[in-house]
Amino acid sequence: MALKLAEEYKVDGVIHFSHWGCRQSCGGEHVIRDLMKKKGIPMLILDGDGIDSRSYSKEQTKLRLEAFLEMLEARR
Amino acid sequence: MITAGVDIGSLTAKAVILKDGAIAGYAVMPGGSDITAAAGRVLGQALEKAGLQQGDIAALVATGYGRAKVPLAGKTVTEITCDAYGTHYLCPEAGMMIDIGGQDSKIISVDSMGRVVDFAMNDKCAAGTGRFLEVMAHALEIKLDQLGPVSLKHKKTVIISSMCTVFAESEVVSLIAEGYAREDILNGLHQAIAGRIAAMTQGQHLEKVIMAGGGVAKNIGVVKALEDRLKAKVRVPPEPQIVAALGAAIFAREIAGKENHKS
Repeated sequence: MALKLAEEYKVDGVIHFSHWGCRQSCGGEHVIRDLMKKKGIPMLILDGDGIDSRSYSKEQTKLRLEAFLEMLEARR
Repeated sequence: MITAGVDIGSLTAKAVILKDGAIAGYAVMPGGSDITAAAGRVLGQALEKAGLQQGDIAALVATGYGRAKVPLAGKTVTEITCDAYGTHYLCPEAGMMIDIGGQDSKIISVDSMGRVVDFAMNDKCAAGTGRFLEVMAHALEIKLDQLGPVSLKHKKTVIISSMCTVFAESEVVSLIAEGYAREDILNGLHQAIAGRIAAMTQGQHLEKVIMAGGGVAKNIGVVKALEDRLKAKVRVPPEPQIVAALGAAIFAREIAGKENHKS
């Protein structure tokens, strides 16, 4: 499904948000990551909690996103 | 052409001056709480070493967590991209870069052109970083630059289970009380750091040649532990702390080159 969507939308990269404690997103991220790797589509996995912001680090999240965008830019 | 790169890290500020593709001067100093002042100081010192003036710089790129606070920067680029550029310059055969800085660590996969292929970084925590080793050096009453050489003399294997700076320190204190030798405890700490880095490399293709950067790469004990754990050759450049600043200066050269081309 994820692969079909990625191909249909001709994406440059995939950002996957894994919610802490969510078995589907945390468990599924590796399956999606492996699939994307096979297709050569870069993927960024961000971990977080939608309600509890105590472990959220704005700078680190920003750095990951910026670096991911720079990486996609360099591939163009 | 003369370009500059300034890297404001969590604990130190670094600057590199690049002149016609070669490093003309560099400086490393403690960052302090005033980022703008630290950027000015470190750039001034690097310029002095290169025998150049601020006006000679064609382009300046800032990187590191304080990158937005460097007033002279024409552009800011993340240290992940800059590390890849710096690695490609210093060790083109390396397919991976491990950057262990003052407060965080990063694993970056680099292609043959110096582009980032994939990266991973630690979470909001100083576990297994430069600051972690500074705290442990204090607990063991040993100078920072002696951690590596002393740890290589270890005889016994000590397992440190906590990677949290606070908990690991109390674990170290307990080990001292139990009479373990400093070199054995230190080796345990270095092994724990290597284990943590190895866990972070999961999901990325493990390369045979890896370059290590950041202040912790100066610790031979950590470098050896990484080689054992990752079964790879770990190279350390002469000054591992300036990799990202060097990458920023290379990036600045690309920008200035494009602008020259336009006009």
